[in-house]
Amino acid sequence: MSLEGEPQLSDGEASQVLALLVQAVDNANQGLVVCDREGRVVLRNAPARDLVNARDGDFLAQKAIEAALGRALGGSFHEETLDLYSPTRHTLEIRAYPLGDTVPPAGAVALVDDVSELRRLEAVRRDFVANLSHELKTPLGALSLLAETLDGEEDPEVVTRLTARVGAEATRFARIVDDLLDLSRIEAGAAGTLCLMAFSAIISEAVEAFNEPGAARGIRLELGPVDQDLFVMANRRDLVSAVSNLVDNAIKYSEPGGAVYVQAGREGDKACLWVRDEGIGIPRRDRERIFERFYRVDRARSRWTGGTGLGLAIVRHVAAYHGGEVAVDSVEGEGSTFTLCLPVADQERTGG
Amino acid sequence: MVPLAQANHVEVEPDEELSEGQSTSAISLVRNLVTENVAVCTHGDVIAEILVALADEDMLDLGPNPRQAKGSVWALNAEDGIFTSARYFPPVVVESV
Repeated sequence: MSLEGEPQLSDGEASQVLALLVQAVDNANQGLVVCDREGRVVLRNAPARDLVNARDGDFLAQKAIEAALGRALGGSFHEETLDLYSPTRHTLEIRAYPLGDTVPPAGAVALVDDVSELRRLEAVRRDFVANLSHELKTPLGALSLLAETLDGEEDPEVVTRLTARVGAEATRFARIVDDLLDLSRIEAGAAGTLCLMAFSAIISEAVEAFNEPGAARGIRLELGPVDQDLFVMANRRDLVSAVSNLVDNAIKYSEPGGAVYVQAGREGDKACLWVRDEGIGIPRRDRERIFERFYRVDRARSRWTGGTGLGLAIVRHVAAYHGGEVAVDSVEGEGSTFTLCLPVADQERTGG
Repeated sequence: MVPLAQANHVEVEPDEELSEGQSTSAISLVRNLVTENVAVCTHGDVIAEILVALADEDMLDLGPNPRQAKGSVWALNAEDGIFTSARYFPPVVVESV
């Protein structure tokens, strides 16, 4: 870096430049701490002050920065990663450089980055790739095994059964790919224009498709009162898909003879849908994670019900890009209620 | 199975749960044997279903191109009730003299 303009500054001008520099480094995202040759801190920008003033972990962070500056004053570049666990995990990357061309250096600077979110995203991506690989490999492996079993099989009954299984595994593979493409499209924000539509129409369209599958599993599907005057700005396809996923899950996780109740209404400025089942419920430890991609509470049950593990992730993303949210309330052994709330559309303003 | 059983001084126990087409009961049987050192022999279609079930439920890695030729063996390892690794052994080919 160099100062532009006149090389010789008056004291007043130098003070102005210094004030500008301090403002500039205060506005940086990176923490910056400068010390003189004696190790005394002469500058600490706002992000660095926030770091050391944080209620938890401040002592460790401060000590690590001081140690890094000390090493830099010894004449060498120093880099380290610091994981702090109180109260939640966060990760700091600290890099310290000697300043000036003299030996010993005229001072040192430490740059501090809070990389917690970056690390979390990297872990999410790694988990997703590992899960995705497994989810795609399993039906492909099944096809390979079944094909080899079919080869040379002469019993027509066995051939029929195995052929049906080949079809089922191919369908499973296709459903995972379809859900992945849907999720990818939704995450990429390719939803297109949202249109004014009746919340009741979307709910009816989604629920009607499950009357037959519900009955086939011995589950009674009850559509309760739905406010007909409730309108939302929505992408019809995606919102129907989200509601369908909630109803489908409720049916899959209910026991034969049980019931699934669907109703909708207005809560303040939100249009809310409630899907309640009398199924097995969701353990408390799993409730925060069920909206993650490929997270399954009961992998054995998911295998038999044919879930892709992506349904609730799709619901969450659809809710988010509609400006809404989805939540779950559950009691193990008694059932679960999923609530999907979206902003109510103002018909006057939207021209409805 | 008999020569294997004799070599290890154990008995062969026939079990209907391993019959052809009985994949659900066979999967349960294998789950119940998870803590045992045991050899199980069954039909190809049942083996395929057991392996796929364990891949689904325990996230067992069957490798890039799982196979199950007649006479082949899958060796499964488990920890804490979960199947953790699987290795395929192709059939032993005995050349006639």
